[in-house]
Amino acid sequence: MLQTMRNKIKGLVAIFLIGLLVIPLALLGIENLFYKNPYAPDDVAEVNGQKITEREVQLALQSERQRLQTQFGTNVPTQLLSDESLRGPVLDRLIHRALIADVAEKGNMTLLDKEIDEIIVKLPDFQVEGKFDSDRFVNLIRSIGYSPATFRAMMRKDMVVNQMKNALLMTDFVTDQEIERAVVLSRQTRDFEWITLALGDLPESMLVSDDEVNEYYESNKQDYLSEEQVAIEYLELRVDQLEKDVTVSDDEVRAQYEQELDSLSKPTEREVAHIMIEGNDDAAQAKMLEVQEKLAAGEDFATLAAKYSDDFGSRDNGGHLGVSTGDVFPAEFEQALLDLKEGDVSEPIVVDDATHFIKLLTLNAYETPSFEKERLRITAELKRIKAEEKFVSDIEILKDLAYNAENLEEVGIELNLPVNKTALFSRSGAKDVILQDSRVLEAAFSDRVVKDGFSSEVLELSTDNSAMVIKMIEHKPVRTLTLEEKKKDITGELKLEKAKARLTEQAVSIRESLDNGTSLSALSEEKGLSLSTQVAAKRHAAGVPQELLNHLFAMPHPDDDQGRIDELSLDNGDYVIVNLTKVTSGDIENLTDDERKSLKTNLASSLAGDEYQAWQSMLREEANVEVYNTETSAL
Amino acid sequence: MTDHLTDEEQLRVLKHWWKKNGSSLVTAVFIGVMAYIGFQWWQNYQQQQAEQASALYSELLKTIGVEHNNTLPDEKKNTARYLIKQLKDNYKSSQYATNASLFAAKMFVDAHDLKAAEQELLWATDHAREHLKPLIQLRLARVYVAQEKYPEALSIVDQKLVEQFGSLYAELKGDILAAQQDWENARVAYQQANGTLENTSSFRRNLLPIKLSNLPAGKK
Repeated sequence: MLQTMRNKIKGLVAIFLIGLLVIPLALLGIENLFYKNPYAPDDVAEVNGQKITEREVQLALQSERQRLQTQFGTNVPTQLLSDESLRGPVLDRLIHRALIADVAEKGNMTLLDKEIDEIIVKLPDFQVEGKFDSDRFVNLIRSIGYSPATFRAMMRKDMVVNQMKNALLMTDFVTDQEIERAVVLSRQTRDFEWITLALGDLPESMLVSDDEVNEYYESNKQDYLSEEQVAIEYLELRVDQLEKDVTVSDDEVRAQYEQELDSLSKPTEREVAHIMIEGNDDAAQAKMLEVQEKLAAGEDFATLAAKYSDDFGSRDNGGHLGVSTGDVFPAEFEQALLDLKEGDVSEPIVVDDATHFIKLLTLNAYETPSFEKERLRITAELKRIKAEEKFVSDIEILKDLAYNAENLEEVGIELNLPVNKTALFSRSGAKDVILQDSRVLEAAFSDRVVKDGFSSEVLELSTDNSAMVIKMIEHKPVRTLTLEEKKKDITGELKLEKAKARLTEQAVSIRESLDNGTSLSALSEEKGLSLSTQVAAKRHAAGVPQELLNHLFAMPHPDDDQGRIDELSLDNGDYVIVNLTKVTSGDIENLTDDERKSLKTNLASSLAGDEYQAWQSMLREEANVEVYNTETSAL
Repeated sequence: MTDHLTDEEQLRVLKHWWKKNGSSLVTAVFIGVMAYIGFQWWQNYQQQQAEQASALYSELLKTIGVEHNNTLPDEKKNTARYLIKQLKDNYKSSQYATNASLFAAKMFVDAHDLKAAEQELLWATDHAREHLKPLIQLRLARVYVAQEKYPEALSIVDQKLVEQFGSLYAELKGDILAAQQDWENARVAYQQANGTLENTSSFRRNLLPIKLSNLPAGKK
């Protein structure tokens, strides 16, 4: 067969075929033809053909966690830092990054190796004592799965993404006209006058009949539900309680004391000085006698050391040799030292070729603490240890017994624990200390406890070394409240409604007179209502309810000098009738340069941010994004 | 198949084959090598172009600095203009050229030279990749508005556009119509912009309702 092939493949056909083989080889290199990338189970998503790997996600998660911790300190709720809550947003950000990286790559954006390296050597993570350390660099990046080349590639990607992002964010502008428009509108002031029909005591004077209350109750009773309540009994196992019950015998304390003795005692320390005279010849002998005489005469040891000692290391320092615990100096020396009292100087001691006068400067004898002294501490420690052991074994018993228990009484007797009971409480808890704990509340309203009537699992409350089992003793399911229970509320509500209706009636009649040409001021006088006025009020002005200001600034401009009348009901039930008399544009003339500048910066960055957002979501919409698996758990 | 041939015969067969096919083989290898070299050269060239553009752009960023919202001193302005021109003239197809052009447009607006800014954004529109056009066109339209070239601006915001830019375009359309005192249609545009606000900065979120509520009630 090969023979026939060889015969047939000739001339142009051969050229064509060989060419065909050469081109992919030249383009791709030999590896790519023969080694297909193994299937990577590690891929999390694909963005326009670029893969996002699990490793990238993990790294991003890690740095996001770090960021949150530095931003909010150590009291970040752990739930916030969990993979579950972070993974989605982190993956989203990686996808956005990939989208922009794709844009940058297609636009031939790149960065020189030199520039990337400049950044890398400045990163504090890679520095030792303020200088870039290449070993540290290689080790660190290897530990997160990079080689120098792939790390650089990753940095390059990050940097071009930033360049692209900044190119859009930093280039937005604000035209003069836009600034003026913003000032004219946002710094606008308005003049207005208003009267208030106060709700005050009006509701109390309203009359509500029983029939009205009944009717209201009947039509709304589906909303009148009681809260679900339970009462529980519980057993609480506490380490500190157990501690009171355990006993520790004297023998045990003593055994512990003896075990600790070694670590309790410390050797005696002696601080020593000496005068050394070297040699055995006559001169040395004479010198020695002279020193001995002078010492006997009571001359100062340090002075003599300076004058006579042949130990150059110590003589200018009063002969000071430091501290010995009995094994620093030669045996003869140490022996002589043992016989000295503090401040004494020894007879001449010969060690090897030299004679020493030794002075004991200070004696630091450590006394071994007595048993009596240590007793209380050791007893307390042993009790604690025993209590903790008992706690652990009691939890096991608690688990076994509570699981099948009819009631907690028996279990309590078994473990010598009192059974406590609570009154009825709702999901929002009650004053009892244990009901402040959300885990207890959760268990108290769980199906297992409420529906099935079992004891709860053992709840370990690590904060105060206690464990707890609870069991329901009473349950009040949700029910419709009776008319009797709701009567007071409904009456109040109806009175309020009537009072508000009364105010509205008044307002309508006032409105009619106003429409007939009476002015607000004349009318306020006629009705004995006080008229408030405000000149050049800004969007936030002291002394005017914000609700009123919001309403006022949303009103259409008045057509003429007469102003524009409107009314509104405030949250507190008051009714306001207002006359907007004048709208004044924000003052552009008196805008300072600084104000203009900061306004410009704010406007530009706000606009740029919005444009960028729009652009980003557009890219996402148009891109080919595939997310394989968002559930992959942490390694 | 060649078992029964002697060495001499094999050599003869080989020579014969070479005579017949040698030149085509050489040609094929030659073409292959040339193709390889050519491709390498082309890649190198591309990489070089990209790096040169990148270096110029880095220089530009350094010149402009972080204080991009402040006016540059003249000397730096000239350097920046020179770098921008280099990028636009020699690396037209690079994203860096478009980015540089956006920087130029901002510089012109800050210097109150709206005409030049308009030219710059027109250049960017012509040379940018498709995905950036909605953003560049929006800026262009705003420069038109600043010059009171309302028909030009309207023709941009009236285009059928990508959904994500809807709110921004609608707000600008409202501005244009309000500037022409077409209150009713301006109101419609602002309402549309307000209805499609999403992930928006607070500044715009606050200003848009104000714009809306300050439109005069009736037609003028």
